[in-house]
Amino acid sequence: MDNNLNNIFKKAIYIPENRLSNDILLAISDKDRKNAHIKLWVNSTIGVFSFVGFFPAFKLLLSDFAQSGFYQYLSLVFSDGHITSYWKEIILSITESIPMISLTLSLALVFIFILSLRFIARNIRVRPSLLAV
Amino acid sequence: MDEDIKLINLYISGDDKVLKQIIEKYTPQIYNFVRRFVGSDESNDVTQEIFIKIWKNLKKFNKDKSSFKTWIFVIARNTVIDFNRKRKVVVFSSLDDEENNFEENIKDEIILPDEALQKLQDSDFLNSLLEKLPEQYKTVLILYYQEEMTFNEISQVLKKPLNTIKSHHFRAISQLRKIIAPNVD
Repeated sequence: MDNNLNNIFKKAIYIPENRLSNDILLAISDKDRKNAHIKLWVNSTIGVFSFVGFFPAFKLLLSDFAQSGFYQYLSLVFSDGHITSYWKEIILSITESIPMISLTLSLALVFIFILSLRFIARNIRVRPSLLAV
Repeated sequence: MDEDIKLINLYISGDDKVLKQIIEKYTPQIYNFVRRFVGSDESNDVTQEIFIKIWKNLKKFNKDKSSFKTWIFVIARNTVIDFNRKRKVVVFSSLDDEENNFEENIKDEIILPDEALQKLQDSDFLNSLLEKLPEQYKTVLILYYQEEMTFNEISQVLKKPLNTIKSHHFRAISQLRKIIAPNVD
């Protein structure tokens, strides 16, 4: 009984037009391309902003280093021969004089810029067509 | 390993070309399914929408949860429901829960007489009969006889208990018999 019904039902299948598979592939290919463009645009914008933002952030970092006395502590390390007797204090002073906020900001911008470059490189590579056999 | 799983693994590892194979393999089955619940004018668009969803979610497919075929039919069913909801057509509505009490032991021989089977050889006649069945029953018959899914797989697609699916199958055949009876001389 089941086999009979199987055969009967199989005969009543609706057949799609031949071009349907190809149309589906074209639609997917189109969506894929659009997604790639959006990603490229977003990452390019992020890349430009992080690159432009890096210069004032770096300027701020240099000025914070100068104001915190970091350079003076650092020069002491190389100029004072008796540094070994108070090395713990000098290391602590150097650490405390590092401008953490502007340093974090600058490094974050560099990191974001590198990441966006990586995404851009991935997106602009030649994408194989989904329609290729 | 299952051929579908091999293709999916190839796609995930970066071979975009296998997508074409997957689409070509399943387009006829999905189209036939969609065509049953959506008008012929919109079937192509809905089928296309289903494959776009499959493509977007292909990397999320979990082979431990279900077979690929079951997974794509779940997507197809949900897309058809969404499409018809937008058109305010009720499809796959719940039938009475009495089916949960269905007894599993159904005898096949009570199903359809030879005369009825003879009448059903006419595809147009069968399709017109299927149109008269409730959507749930029609779905079970299509998935069972045309897609050759097991009751278990159908219960996964329709998210219904196994006994309910068996009950739908039995009732679908019974209704088919009732509808066909006046036509059988």
